[in-house]
Amino acid sequence: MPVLPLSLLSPNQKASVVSVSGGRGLVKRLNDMGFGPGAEVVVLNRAISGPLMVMVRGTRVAIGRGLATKIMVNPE
Amino acid sequence: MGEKKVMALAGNPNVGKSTIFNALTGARQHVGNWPGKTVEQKKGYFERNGEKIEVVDLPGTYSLTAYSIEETVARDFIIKDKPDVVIDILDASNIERNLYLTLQILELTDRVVVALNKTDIAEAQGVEIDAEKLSRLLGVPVIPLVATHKSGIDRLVKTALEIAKGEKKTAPMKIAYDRAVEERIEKIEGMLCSLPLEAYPSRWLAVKLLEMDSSVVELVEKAGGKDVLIDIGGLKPLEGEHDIETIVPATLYEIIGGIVEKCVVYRERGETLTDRLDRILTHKYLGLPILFLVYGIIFGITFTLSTPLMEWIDAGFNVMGNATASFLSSSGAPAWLNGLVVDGIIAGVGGVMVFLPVIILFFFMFAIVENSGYMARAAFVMDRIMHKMGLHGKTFLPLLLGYGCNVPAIMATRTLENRKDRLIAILINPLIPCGARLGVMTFIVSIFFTGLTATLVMLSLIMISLGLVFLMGVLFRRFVLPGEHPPFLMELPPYQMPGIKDILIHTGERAWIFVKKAGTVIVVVSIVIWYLSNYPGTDINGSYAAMLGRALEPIGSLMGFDWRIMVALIAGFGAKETTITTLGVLYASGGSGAGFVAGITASLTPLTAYTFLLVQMIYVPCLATVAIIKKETGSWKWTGFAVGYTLVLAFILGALVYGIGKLLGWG
Repeated sequence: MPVLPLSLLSPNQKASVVSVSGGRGLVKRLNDMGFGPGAEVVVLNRAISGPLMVMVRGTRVAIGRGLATKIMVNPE
Repeated sequence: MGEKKVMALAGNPNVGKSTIFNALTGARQHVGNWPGKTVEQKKGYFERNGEKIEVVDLPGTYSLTAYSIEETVARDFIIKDKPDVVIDILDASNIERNLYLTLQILELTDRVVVALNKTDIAEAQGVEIDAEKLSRLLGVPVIPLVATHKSGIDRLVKTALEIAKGEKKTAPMKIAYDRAVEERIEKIEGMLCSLPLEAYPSRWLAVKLLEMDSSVVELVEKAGGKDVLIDIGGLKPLEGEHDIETIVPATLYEIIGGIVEKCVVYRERGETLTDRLDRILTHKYLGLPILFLVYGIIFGITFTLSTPLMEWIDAGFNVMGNATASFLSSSGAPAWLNGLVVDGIIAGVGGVMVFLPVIILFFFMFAIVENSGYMARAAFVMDRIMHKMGLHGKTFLPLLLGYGCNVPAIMATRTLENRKDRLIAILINPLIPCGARLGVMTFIVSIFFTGLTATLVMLSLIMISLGLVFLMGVLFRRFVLPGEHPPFLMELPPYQMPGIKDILIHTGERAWIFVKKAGTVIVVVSIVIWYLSNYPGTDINGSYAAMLGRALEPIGSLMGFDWRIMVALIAGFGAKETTITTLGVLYASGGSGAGFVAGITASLTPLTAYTFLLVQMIYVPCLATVAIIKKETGSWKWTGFAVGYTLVLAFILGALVYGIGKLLGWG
């Protein structure tokens, strides 16, 4: 499967984070929240627009769509 | 007996930190601010075997970097204040992410005990943790507990005290980074030893310098380490695909992965309650209607239950006023003293205390919703709409809080990390009518309107305020503080049964803040108002207040207001509740002793009453709110802007509504 941004991952599809891009603070924040390379993510809730609900390292995290495009994932 | 021992509670948000804090300290707590910071600080005390122990609740954080004030506060306390023991609270059902903070705390101090909270929820979710093994791996004691049932708390306190007194030694695990990073750490440690930074763990400083952590860089600069910083800047960049911001967290998570593998067993996880609830509560179509329903229930219950209570309090103050008046006159006190005490102080404070039931009920309900985990979902559901205004989903929570009181609401905008987002959230917050203004509105509406009309009038006002919040949000984002759409990132904690003790303590705190405000600002303002409306003439028509009101009447007349309303609006700046008190004083004494309700209904038409409600809802935030805006923005310019735009907006809208109403023949 090709690498794609988290914002395009289908609901309930497992994937692992490949890379996180953005400014220093943002990258750190995302890493702190568990979205570092290698982390397993599952999108739980995704409407047509608005934020996504993502399960990462056992936690539900709400993440804005724009932010989710900065996280590249590799679907299993 | 040695010195007083200090315990610090650390942990991620939503791990049950405040439940443990409350279980330890009960009602013996003090809420203030961290020195020089706008972050709430909670301290408390408890006694154990005759020894007094201080407990400091650190802000809930996911990490200990310098990217937010909360994290800096927590980190600085551990480093500089050196608590005798740090109790690191983990949510057992969420251990992987929680251990991330634990490892960072272990880099700072060895006086740590881990409290493994919510073990019951973890078990129900099929997560089994071998606490003993975890303790061996981390090198510090691990105490499993269920804070909501107090189980394990005694053992936690005992272990924490043993560590605090140095009776129990710990050997925290060392975090090893990869070779390239370790080499750099060693080099930097070597450079640092010449600087006067003994108070800080040198290895930690080195890691933070590699990460270019802003506050550590500043610290080293102040310690005279400019050369060291230049040398670090000159180090060869790391090879490989990831930079240091990624490598450090990745290493921590890798270590955590190893720990979890060794001491956590995940049984097949069925669908949890949170999964099921989230499917409905955050549903793409149902989410928003449910949110408004919850919202409606909160206000419905608050106002239904508080109305009779408010009447009792009002009656109580009347009885007290009358009794005091007759006591004073029978004991030969001068008339001015009688007036000052009865009409000034007692009536003024009474007029404010009447709102106590609203405040208590509202915060009670609000705490339930927050505690249950729903509040984060509200932000999630609202983010789509907020996003359209260019606002952050997190702006919604402070807005909602504004219905209770704008002061804590504006303080709550601290959760927004971006300064522009925060400024917009602060500027639009006063447009949300607070409990006091809602109280004034309910009261006046109940005098002029009845039944369904009353409900509709009230609703129309609230809808107008919401419309203004959105409009101003868009305008400010567009023209005043243009910027990118803010990043939205927040944890959605699992749903839980709200703990009644936590809710009661929280509600008590909020109520106390309100009562304190009533006891200080409002007493003073009441006395000033009483003086202005009784002097220099013999009755109110010749008073300073009347002069001021009459001078402002030309502006007021655009909105159909007489001088008395202008006086009430001015008085409302002290505290919005005093608007009613002032109207009470002015209309009751202005007529022929016919009483307030008769006086005001004779003087105002329903249209003027409505216009008045609209204007008082929007114009200039109260003194306390203005003070907090100044404190939170740190700028007179923005404070002035908030005062100015609300004033202009209120008068324009007031004149419009009155003018149109007149044209339609409603006057």
